[in-house]
Amino acid sequence: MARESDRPGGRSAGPRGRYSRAALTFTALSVLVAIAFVLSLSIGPAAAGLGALFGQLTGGEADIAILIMREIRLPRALLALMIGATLGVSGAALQGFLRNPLAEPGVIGVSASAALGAVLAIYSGLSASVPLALPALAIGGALVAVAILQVLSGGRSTLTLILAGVAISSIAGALTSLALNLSPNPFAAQEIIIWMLGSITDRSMVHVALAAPFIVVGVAMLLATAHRLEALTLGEEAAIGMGVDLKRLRLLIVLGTALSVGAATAVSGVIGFVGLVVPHLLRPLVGHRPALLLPVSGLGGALLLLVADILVRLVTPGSELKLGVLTALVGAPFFLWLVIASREGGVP
Amino acid sequence: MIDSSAGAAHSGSGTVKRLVACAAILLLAGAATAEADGSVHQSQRKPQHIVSLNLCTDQLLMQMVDPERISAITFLARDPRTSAMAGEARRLPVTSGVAEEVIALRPDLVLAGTFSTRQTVSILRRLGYRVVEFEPETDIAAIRQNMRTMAAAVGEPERGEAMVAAVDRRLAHVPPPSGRRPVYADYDANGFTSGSGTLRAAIAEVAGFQMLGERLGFAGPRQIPLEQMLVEQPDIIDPGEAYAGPALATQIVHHPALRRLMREQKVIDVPSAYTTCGNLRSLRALDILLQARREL
Repeated sequence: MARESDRPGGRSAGPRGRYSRAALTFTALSVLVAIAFVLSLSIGPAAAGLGALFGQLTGGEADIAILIMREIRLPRALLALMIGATLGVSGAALQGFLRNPLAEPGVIGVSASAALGAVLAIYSGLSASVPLALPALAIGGALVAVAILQVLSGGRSTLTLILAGVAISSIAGALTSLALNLSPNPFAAQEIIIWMLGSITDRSMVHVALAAPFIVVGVAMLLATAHRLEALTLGEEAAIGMGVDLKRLRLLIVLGTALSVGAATAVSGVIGFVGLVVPHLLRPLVGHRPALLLPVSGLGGALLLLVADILVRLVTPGSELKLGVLTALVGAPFFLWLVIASREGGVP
Repeated sequence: MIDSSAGAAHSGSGTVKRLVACAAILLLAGAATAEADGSVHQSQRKPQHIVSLNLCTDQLLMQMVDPERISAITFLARDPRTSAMAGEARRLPVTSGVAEEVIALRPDLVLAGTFSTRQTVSILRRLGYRVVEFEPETDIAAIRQNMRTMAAAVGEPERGEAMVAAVDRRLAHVPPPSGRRPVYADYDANGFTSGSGTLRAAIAEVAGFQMLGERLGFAGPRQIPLEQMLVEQPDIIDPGEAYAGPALATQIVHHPALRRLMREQKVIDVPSAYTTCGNLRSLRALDILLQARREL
């Protein structure tokens, strides 16, 4: 992958070749996402395969199989799909807008701040009486983080952005830990691991219903910026010359990221590196065009998270790994490579 | 020797005297070790300053001796979630099981579990205190055994035999199990359910049930996925008590799929306080389970 990113593939090909390659990428990813979605539904500890579901629709056994599908595996697969797409799209959008290859909701502390909001909502008992408080506070947390980053990353320095992200993540992580430790519930303190590494085990349709509207609106806002981000690749002046309203663009990015990442983190905890890895892997395949990269990254993110969530069930059945463990195992070395590459001035 | 220095400290009133007594304890500790290791039966006087360092010995002790003879129990004994005697425990002093606290109480007998406060026990032993250790009660036989060990340690053999007899009388009145053993599944925070080798499984067996964990073939408590719970369809589900404050671990009880299962199957509540430790109060768990069996 490194070689491919160093030598952008689209540049040598003509426009036609570029589009057909992008179309191929789209189609392939869509098919893979569909396959992964079905796989996710059919894999689980109960060995209630799809065959059992459709085989004996009359018996009591099928009843249970349907219940397991509808109430346990379907929400899980839907969440992996939506959260993965959120992370992919927001990663691509943030990288394009901040013109910074290391930008990603996890790395720059947006996810951690959203997790803090979610933890405050759940463990204070607020979300038990007002369910909407959960996504609302998580989105609020994400909004604060994006706002701080907007102020701090004015200089466009990679270092500033990452350092600000580290600081925001640390503060949010410490406050999350504090909030969990103050809970009277003896299990709360141990749950820091769920919030730091993410999990979508045993979520229900209630979670899907809570997160989906915000994720859909947020991702739609981000996708709407695709063409403006493309103009921005030519520089701010050129973009303004082409009629891009930078203030409006900023607003869309900030709100879109906060809404989608906030709602996603509220139900899954922090899942890192998806938004970092996916756009980088796919960028050469769509000719480095943000207009194509955003939707493709959404598909790629969904695929990555669906696969990761299948793997956590297969690798250590019984005591599932946290999702973030897998994404970090893939993403953190990639992040290191990006840091080294950017130090040498060879950022793709 | 410890007894005598403790007596000296009682007669004094000033801090200095107490400090001197403490120093004396420390100095004499080494010499006292040999004596403290002697058999339980050799102690002529009944211990009057008993400190318990384990939730289970706390409860057995409270059931066996008068409160005046108990210098301290653990803070855990006051938690109604784990202790079947939280009310009684509130009237007694508690420690958090740190050696300093225990030494300050000048106990003539320390009771400990074999799995808890290991550091404290080793320090106390080194200083010459008489420490008696108890295995966790994971079956009915262990309850009888620990009752007798405790009775010998505190010098109340008749009381111990009376407690054992009470357990046996209750067991003798259990109607014999008939036909298929219904499956009983507890489902606690984080999706933990009990397997074989737990006191809960032992009591469930007496009541004519099979634990879900036993049927699945594992020992001790273990996490099982919600999906498996739905597939197994246990006859009786015990979702555990509510905890103070929300947590993801305890939210699983509200999962729509589990809710539906609980609407279809019988739901009971055997408080874990009755099965965390084995003592007279554990018989209440048996009563609840027998009631459930009659109602099935």
